[in-house]
Amino acid sequence: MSEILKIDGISVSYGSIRALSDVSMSVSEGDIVSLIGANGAGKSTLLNAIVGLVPLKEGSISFAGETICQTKHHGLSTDLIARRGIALVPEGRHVFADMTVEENLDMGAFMVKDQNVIDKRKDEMYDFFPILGARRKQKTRSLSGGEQQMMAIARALMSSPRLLLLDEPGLGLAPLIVQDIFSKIRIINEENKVTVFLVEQNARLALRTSSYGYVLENGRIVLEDKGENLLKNERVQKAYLGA
Amino acid sequence: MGTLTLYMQYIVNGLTLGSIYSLIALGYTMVYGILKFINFAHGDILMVGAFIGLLIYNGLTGGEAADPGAWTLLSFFIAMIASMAFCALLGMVIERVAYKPLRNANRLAPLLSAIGVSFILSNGAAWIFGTQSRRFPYPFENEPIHIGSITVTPHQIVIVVVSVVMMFLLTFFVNRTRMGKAMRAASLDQATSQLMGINVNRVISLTFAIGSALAAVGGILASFDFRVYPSMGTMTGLKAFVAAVIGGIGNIQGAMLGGVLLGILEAVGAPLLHIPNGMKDTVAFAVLIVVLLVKPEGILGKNEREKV
Repeated sequence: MSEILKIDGISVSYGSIRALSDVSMSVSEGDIVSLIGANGAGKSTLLNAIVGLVPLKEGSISFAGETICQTKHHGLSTDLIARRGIALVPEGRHVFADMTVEENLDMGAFMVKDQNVIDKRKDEMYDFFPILGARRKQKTRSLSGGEQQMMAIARALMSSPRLLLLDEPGLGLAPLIVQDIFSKIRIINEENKVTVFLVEQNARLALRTSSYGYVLENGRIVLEDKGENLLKNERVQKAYLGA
Repeated sequence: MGTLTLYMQYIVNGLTLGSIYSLIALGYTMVYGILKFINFAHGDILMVGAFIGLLIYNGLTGGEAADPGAWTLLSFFIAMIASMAFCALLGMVIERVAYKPLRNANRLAPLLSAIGVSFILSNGAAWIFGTQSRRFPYPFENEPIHIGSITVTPHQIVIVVVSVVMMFLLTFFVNRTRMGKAMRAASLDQATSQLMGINVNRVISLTFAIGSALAAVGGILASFDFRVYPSMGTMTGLKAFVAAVIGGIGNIQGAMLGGVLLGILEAVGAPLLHIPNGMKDTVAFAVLIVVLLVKPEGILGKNEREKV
């Protein structure tokens, strides 16, 4: 499998606080890769760095063989990175609350010019997430947390990305809904051939879903291995699986 | 004339004035919606719009000497569209030069820059055009029309019709078109709209262009009543800002509603409370104070709360 995302020795600081130190990792095309870590380990910072929302202090990130992020001022802007085929479902969903479900999906398809393609994808999304079809004309703020999460994922899929980044897709949701969302993620990966890189606090579920995983502690990658191996790893069990 | 019809007349006058406030308030509210910044130079854009419109109109018709007819009416609309285009460009240039470099600076910096731009525009106009006020010749016969005991002038009708058309076009744009929706998305969440591939810088430029074009229309329509002079944008701009706050700043329907409401309150309030003519501006600001005390987010403004 070819490497689609390569993160090469990146560091990120907020003022004098170092959020990421010398992080390197790689995601192969077609995989589901997860990044686990505690609150404040720097997981969201890493995803935001990939899409150019936070500047790098050191290192570089390349996507499909081309550099997209470099140290300050030399990377692409976020909208151009999105146009390359990376979609991020941000932590806390960040739905456009005052817009309807349908308008949110339209925004997800902002880069798609062909209205027929947009309409077709919207129909696919309403099939895949029936609740969104039922609520298409409703303001997004009236949706429940789980529905908003599904809408945020559907919105990200509207651009037909090559790489889908998910930031804590299970955050604050009931366990059954989290299960549902992860099974959808698996389907997206298998049937739509979308590479998935997800960040999650629910380590067990994330590692079970993934073929490969990374463990982030205090801004550094401390472990990496196949998902199944990490599940058996003593350090991971102790710190993240509550064993 | 009975009291009731008298007040009906005030309401008609207020509606006319208010639709001008609405057009100008839209520029304040759209820019605030996306940048959380009050563009204090916006009032001066309407003055530039009025001057440009007047120059083009006079150039096309020969000014006061022209007899109102089809050609003057056509010239009026040509002048308006040309002035909209000029102000749209001016708005984009101002944003690019005076506000964009300060986007990550302290919040006070772009505000001060806007005040600076305001002075440059009004003093620049005084330097180029002189400080005397000019009349905008009526492009059509302004014979009053009597409906019952209420009098409506054709220029009032033009003001209301043009304003309604502009607001209709804007509503269509923000609700139905791709860029219009992108504009709403960017004002709701800039970072997330970038994730959708939206170039926020372009959306901001477009916002300034549209707001300034609407201000140009407002300026030209206002000059029927108030004449054209370099400081004409100050008070009208300030009142349009009040209208935007009353309606709920950042909210497009709010700006439209706030403008009309303020116009009517001014026109009705001054005679009702026996406020002398020279002090009738106090009505607008009294209304502002009341709104800020009772419903600080404005009539249609919302207190944003996020679901976690």
